[in-house]
Amino acid sequence: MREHKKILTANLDDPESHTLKSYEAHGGYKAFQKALKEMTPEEIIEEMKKSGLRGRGGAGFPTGLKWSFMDKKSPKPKYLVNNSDESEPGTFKDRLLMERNTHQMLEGMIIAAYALDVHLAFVYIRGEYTSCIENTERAVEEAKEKGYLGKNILGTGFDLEIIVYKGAGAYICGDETGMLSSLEGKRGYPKVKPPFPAIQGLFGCPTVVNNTETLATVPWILQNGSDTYAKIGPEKSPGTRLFCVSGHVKKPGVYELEMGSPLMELINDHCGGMQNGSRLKGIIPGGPSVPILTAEECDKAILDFDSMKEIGSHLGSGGVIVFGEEACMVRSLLVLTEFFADESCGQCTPCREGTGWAVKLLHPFVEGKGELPDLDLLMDVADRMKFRTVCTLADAAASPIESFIIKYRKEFEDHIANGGCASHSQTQN
Amino acid sequence: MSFELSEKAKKEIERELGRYPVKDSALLPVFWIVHNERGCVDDEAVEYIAGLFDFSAAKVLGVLSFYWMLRRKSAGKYVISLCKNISCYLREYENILTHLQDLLKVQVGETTKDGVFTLQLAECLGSCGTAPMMMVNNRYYEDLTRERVTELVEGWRKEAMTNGK
Ligand SMILES: Cc1cc2nc3c(=O)[nH]c(=O)nc-3n(C[C@H](O)[C@H](O)[C@H](O)COP(=O)(O)O)c2cc1C
Ligand code: SF4
Repeated sequence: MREHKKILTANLDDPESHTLKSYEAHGGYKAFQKALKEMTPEEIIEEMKKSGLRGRGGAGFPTGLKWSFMDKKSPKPKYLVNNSDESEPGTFKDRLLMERNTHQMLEGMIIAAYALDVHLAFVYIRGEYTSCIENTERAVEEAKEKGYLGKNILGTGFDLEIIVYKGAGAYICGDETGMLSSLEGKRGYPKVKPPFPAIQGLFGCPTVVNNTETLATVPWILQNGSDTYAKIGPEKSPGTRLFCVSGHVKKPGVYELEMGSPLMELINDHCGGMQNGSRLKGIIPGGPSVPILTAEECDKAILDFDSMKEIGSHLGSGGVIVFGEEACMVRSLLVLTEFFADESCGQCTPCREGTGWAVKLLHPFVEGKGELPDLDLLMDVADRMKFRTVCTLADAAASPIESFIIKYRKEFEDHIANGGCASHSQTQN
Repeated sequence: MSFELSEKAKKEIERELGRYPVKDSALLPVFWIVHNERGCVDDEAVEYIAGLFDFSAAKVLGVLSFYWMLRRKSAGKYVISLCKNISCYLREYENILTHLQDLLKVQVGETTKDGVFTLQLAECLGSCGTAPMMMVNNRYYEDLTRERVTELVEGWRKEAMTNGK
């Protein structure tokens, strides 16, 4: 197996990896000391820009650039929010970081806060992740005791408080503006942009929202240099990434690979290939918000932002969902569409109504009562949901509908012809 | 029935109310404190919380109802939330679901007559590599098999009998 550099999971073999003691024994909490004592905020932002790091929350936005948009001249307080809501189906990497590498994430937050002139930062963790919440709270306490958080950190005059904020179950709070609404004590409705959070975010103040994995990468970059980081993987998508593999593979789990690796290297070399000798039918490479790839497309797929775009999908959340031949694509699409319908916040008509109608239209196919024209109607519904809503959940919901019907159309037609699912095995594993 | 919280909960609420740049941010944390103590945020609790924030009950209810984890009525001692999303579907959570329905003799959304178990389905809980899985109260149970589920349910049943509901 090809060796991959480990930036986020290097020390996870240590059963105590989540403790401050273990993290420091492995060289942790050096980068933030260097940052606070030897670097100016501008220098840090410049380093982040040069590293080429792109956000790991889904959109792949360049992190240094995002930080540079923060309205520095604003007289208002500024905030940093660590997005640990992780609710995209098939995604469970931030959980690993919070459970096993908690301090690397906190160190990244301290550096980001210093660079952004932030003195109060939040970790917004989905309410279901009890162990992550407990771990993060404990880690914050440990860091406080050590003087890494609180007033006058390391005698530099820099103050920072981190609050762990527990969500209560709503996918839409993972959208950065939905998250800000939720933090403001409101329903978690996404907000119209612009203004972007960097100008007008939490409580109307300049705010940066970053994904957990993004922030956990920051200490390594400062410690090893932006040029070292930029050299890993492809030029425009450098670094490593956590891929969460689920579905019909032998060894599902979270794997850290260098960007630019072939998708099938992840599946065959790391996950041991398909389970029970099943044949690959398709892979969703980045959570259901991105289009599925057929088995043929998977053979060509490269895991970086731009290569994925070229073959018509996206790296998304890092949630790699693997479908073997035993999967019913009609049922699978219903499962995903029900999810988006359940999680639509209901503010925008195309999203609220579109996801609901798509579910209604899909049910008859599963039950073997679907009709051919309804396939086109489904495509039409999906098309009308896109590019006209407050947040991108509606576009996300359209992407499995369109890609499943286009790429697995024959399965939908067979369901009509056979009065239901003929291929779907109900074998127990 | 009068609404009364423990001293501990009151202290926690006090702390939350003074913790944020804008007091409204304490609403979700206060929901959690009440929920942890009472197993739900019922109408009386809504009135009480509205008073703390000087909000209308409608505003409090509006926020409360946005989040699936916060319940407005109490449920079974063990609330079983079985994940139904794609990775669990691919790993046949439906086998676990029928098994749970057989064991508990309830349908999805129902509570057993003795008040011990509530069965519900949940969207993705972030255990996709260890599917199928369920969350019971706030703990995760992963890599489920029928045998494991039987064992767990029997254990909880015993526990409920010895400790009362
Ligand atoms: C519906 C929806 C759900 C999202 N869920 C998450 C999430 O769970 N975690 C996350 O980091 N980003 C999520 N995002 C993306 C965030 O809006 C935001 O882009 C991200 O947190 C920025 O961090 P990054 O720049 O470090 O990637 C979601 C976006 C949408 C539209
Ligand atoms: S697109 Fe959907 S989820 Fe997003 S704001 Fe509109 S209704 Fe809400």
